[in-house]
Amino acid sequence: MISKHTTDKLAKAWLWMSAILIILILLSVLGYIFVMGIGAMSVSFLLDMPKNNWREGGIFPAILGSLIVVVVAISFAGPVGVGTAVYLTEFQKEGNVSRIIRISSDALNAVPSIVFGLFGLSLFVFYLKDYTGGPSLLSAGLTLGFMVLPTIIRTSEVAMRSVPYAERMESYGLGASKLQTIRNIVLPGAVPGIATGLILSIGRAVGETAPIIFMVALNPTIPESLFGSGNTLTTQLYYLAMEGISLKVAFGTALTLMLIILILNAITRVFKKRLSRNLRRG
Amino acid sequence: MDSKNKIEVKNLNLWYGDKPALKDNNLSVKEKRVTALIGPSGCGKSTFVRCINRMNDLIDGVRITGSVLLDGKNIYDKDVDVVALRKMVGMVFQRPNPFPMSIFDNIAYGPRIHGIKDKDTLRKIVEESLVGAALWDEVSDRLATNALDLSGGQQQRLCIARSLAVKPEVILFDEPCSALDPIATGKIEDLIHELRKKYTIVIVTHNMQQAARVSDYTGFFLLGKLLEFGKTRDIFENPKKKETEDYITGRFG
Amino acid sequence: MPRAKLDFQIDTIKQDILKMTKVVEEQLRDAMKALSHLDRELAQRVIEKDDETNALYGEIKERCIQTIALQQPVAKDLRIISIAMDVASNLERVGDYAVDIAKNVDYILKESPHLSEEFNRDVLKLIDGEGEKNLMIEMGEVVARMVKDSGPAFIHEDSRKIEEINRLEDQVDDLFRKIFRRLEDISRKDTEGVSFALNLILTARYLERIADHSVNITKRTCYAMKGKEEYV
Repeated sequence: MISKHTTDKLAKAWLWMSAILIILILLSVLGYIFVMGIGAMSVSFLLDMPKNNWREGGIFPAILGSLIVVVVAISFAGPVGVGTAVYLTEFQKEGNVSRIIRISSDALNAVPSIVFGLFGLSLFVFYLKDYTGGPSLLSAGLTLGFMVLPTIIRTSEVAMRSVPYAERMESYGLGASKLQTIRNIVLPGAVPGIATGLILSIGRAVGETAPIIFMVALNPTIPESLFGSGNTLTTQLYYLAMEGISLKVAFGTALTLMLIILILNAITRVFKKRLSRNLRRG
Repeated sequence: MDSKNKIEVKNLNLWYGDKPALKDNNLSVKEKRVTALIGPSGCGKSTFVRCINRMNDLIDGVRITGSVLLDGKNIYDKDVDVVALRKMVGMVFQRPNPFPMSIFDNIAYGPRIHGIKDKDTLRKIVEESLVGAALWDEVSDRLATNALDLSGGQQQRLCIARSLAVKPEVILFDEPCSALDPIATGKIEDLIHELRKKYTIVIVTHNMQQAARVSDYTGFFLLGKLLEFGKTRDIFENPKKKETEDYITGRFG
Repeated sequence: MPRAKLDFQIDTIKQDILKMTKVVEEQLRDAMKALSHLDRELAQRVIEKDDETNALYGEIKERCIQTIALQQPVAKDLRIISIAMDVASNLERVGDYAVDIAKNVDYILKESPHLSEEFNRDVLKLIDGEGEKNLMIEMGEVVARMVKDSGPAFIHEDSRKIEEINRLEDQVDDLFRKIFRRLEDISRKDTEGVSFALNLILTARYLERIADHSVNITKRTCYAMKGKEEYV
C-alpha cells in the first residue's frame, strides 16, 4: 500500500521530468540549428542575392518570396475569415447551416498539407493558370490562404463571442443598427483575438513547405510580379538540403526561419497583453 | 396631477416559442410621471417593459400580439423605424455596462451613431447629459479616462447619461439599483425624481419600498398578467386585490 | 410564516387595546357609582387609576411607532397600526372624562348642603341610584355599554357591534337633551343653584363626549377595514 503522500510525490516528479524533457528537446532543436546555421548568418546573408548556385551570397529572394506569399495568403484569408466569423456570430442562428459551416471548417483544418498542395496545384496552377500565372507566388499565397482560413474563422469567432452580449444590447438600446453595433462594439472588442489569430496564421503560412512545393522554383532572382514564380525560405531549405547544394546555407535558411517564427510568437504575446490591458473587460 | 397617456398598451400577449409569458395586458403610462412595475420574480414585468422599446425583437422565437401605442402610434406597425423608436425610448439595464472606452466616448456613442459628428456639438451634449445624470461634478475633469474605472453607482449614472444623450422622451429602467449599495441607490432614486420633470419614466423593481418611494403610479404583475394598477399611494395604502395586498405586505407564498 | 414578527406585534397591540378598554370601562362605571352614592373614596380611586390608563396608552403608542419603524408595514397592516394609536388616544380621553366625573362627587358634597332642600331633591333625583328619574345613571349605563363594545369592535372588526354603538348614540343624545331640559327647569325655579346645575350639565356633557369617542372608534375601525371612513 503506497501512501497518498508517496503517490503525490511520484506524480509530481514524473510531471516535472516531462516538462524538463520538453524544454530539453526544444533547446536541442533550436540549439542545433543555431550552432549549425550561425556560421552562415550575417547582414549580407540576409540582404544579398545568391551567387554561384547558393554557394555564396545571400538568401534575399527567399525572404522576399516568403513575405509576398504570406501577404497574399493573409490578404485573402483575413477578410474572408473574419467575414465568415461575423456572419456566424451575428447573422446566423444556431442551426444546421452554422453547424455545416463549422464542420467544414474543422475538416478543412485537418486536411494534410501535401493534399492542399495537390489541390492548389490543380486549381491555381493548372485550371486557373490564365489568371494566376501558373506556378506563381500568387498561386502559392492563395493555397496557403485556404489552409489558414479555418484558423482565422475559429479565432475570430471566439474573439467575437467573447464580447459580452450585454454590450451589444446597450448599443441596440441606444438605437444603433446591427451593422453599427458590429463595427463599433463587437469588432473593436474582438481585435485582440482576431489579431492573435492572424499572427498565428502568418506564422503557420511562413513555415509551410508541402502545399507550395509544386508551385515555386529554385530561382536565384527576384520575381518580377506576383504572377512570376519565386521561392520561399521553406522551399529553398528543402531544395538545398535535398540537392545537397550547401548544408551551411540550408542551416542558415533554417535559422532565419526559426527567428522569424520566434519573433512572431513574441509579438503575439506582447500584443495580447497590451490589448487586454486596454480593454479590461470586468 | 392627471396628465395625458404617453404610452398605451392594449391586449399585449407575448410567447417565448410556445410558452406564454405575457397574457392580455392593458396599461397606460402617463406622460412625465414615474410608473413602477412590481411583482414576484418571473412575473413578466421585465419582459413587458422590453416590449416598449422592442428589445424583445432581438430574441429568437418571440411572438407578440396586441399593440403598444406611443403618442397614439402603434410601435409594432410595419412602417415603424425601430432605430428611431429606440432613440425616443431609452433603456437603463440592471447591471451597468459601460463600453470599454473613455467616459466621453461612451456618452458620445449614441449621438455619433445617429450622425452627429461636430466636436463642439458632441461636447455640449456630453456635458448636458452628464449634468442631467448628476455625474458631471464628479467626472468633468477626467472625461478621457476609461469608463470602467468608475464605481458601480457612477457607472450606472453613466449609463443613464448615455441614454440621455440621444434625447429620449421616455426612459425605461429595468431594476436599475439591484447591483448597487444603498447610498448609490439613493442617488439614483433622487435622480429619477429630477428626471421626472422632463421625461416619462417606467421603472421595473423588485424592491417594493423603492416603488413606493419613487413612483406616482404602480402596476402589480403576477404570472404574466397585470393584476392591479393605480396611483401608488392607493396601491400601498388600500390595494383592491388580495394578491396585491399579500404581495406588498410580504405575506406571499 | 412570513411576517411572523409583524403579526406578533399587531396581536400584542390588539390585546393591549382590549385591556385598555376594560380598564377605562371600569373607570367609567366606578365614576358613575361614586356619583350616585356620593362615595368620596371611590371617586378618589377612579382619579388615581388614571395613571394606569395613561401608562397603557403610552405603551400602545410606543409599540405602534416601533413596529412602523422596524417592520415597514403597508396597506392593511399599516392602517390597523395607525388606527390603533387613534383608538388608544380616544380611550385615554374617555379615562380623562371619567376622572372629571369623579371630581364632581367632591363638588356636590361641598355645595349641596348650601342649597335649598327642594333643589337638592330634584337635582339629586337625576343622579340618584333609585327611582324612575335617574336619567344621569341611565345615560351612564348606555355610555358604558358603548365603551365596552368599542375596543372589541375594532379588534374583531365586528360590524354588528359598530352598528349597535352608533344606534346607542342616538339614545345618548336623547338622554342628554332630557337632562338638559330638566336642569334648565330646576334652575329657573331656584336661581341659587344655577352653578350647581351647570356643573351637572358638564357631567352629562362628559358622558356625551365619551359616547362621541366611542363612535369615533367605530369610524376609524371602518377605515381600517375598508380604507374608507364610512359605515360598513
